Amino acid sequence: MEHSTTDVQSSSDRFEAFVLEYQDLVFATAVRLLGGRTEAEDVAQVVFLKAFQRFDQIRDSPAAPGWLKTVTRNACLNHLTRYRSRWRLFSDLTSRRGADERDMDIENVAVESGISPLTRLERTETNQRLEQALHNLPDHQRVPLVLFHFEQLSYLDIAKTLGVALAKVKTDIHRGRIALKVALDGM
Amino acid sequence: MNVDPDLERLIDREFKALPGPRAPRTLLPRVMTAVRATRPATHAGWFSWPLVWQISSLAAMLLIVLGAANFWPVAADTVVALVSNLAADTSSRLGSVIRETEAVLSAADTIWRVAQPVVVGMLVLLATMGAACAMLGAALRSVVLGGTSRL
Repeated sequence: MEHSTTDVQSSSDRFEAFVLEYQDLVFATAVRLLGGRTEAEDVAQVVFLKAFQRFDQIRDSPAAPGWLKTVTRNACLNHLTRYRSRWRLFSDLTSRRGADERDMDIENVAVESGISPLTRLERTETNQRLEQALHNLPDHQRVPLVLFHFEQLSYLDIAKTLGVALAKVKTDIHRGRIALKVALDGM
Repeated sequence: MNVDPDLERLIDREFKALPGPRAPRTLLPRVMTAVRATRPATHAGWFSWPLVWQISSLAAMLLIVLGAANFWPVAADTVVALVSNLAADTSSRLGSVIRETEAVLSAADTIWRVAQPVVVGMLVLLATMGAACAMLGAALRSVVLGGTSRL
């Protein structure tokens, strides 16, 4: 069956609306797993291209967010495996531009929530410190930590996903949490 | 102790309070550009092509058909002549090819008899070295990548 030009245009419009709806979800998953905005944007583009290839199946599916999160997670893990040493000791320092954009996001949310200026300031500082501490964690601690707290994966599932021992996952997550608590207590 | 429930709850609460990072404004244009690049102009089918393209493609098709119809008798005669020449040559050359092949096989057999002990020895040596490298690699991976990390 042939498609008319109008059909193609409306399909493109529908996909644009789809990207607009889910771009924050995909980007948030990617940026927390990868610890860098530039890499997260690259991965998000790859994920949406995959979504476009099967757009007919997922556009109206209630499973679309879950599918996107799973594809994003796998793409991030592939990216980490391919482009970095997975368990390297030091993570990249985030760029100033990325930090500025993150600060802006946090401030926007605080303004929108209608809380008092002092509480807002304290919360903003806590969030900034926590985000920075999370991004500064080494990959081998940040990735399982994000999978546990943001992706709601169990320790066992994380161990299977990453292909490492369960004890190592628990140890890395525990050490990551301690590092985050130290960062929060240092305020 | 690797799991501290209080610490787990504390970090979980702090994470829940974090605002979700927002996608940069550049993401949507990037994705849409990439999507358009992956879809060729012909994706929508011939009926959705611009009128000029449709007429041009019809004209090109007509030319190809006419050309094929005009040149087919000439081409058929040429092909028949070539095939008959080839068949005559082939039968005479086939005998000499078989004789040359027999000579080559005989020479190869002689060389193999002489070189067989050396080649087998080399293969055993290579296999042993390969296995040693694989074991060393596995051991290194286990020690460097599989061990518990240290802060």
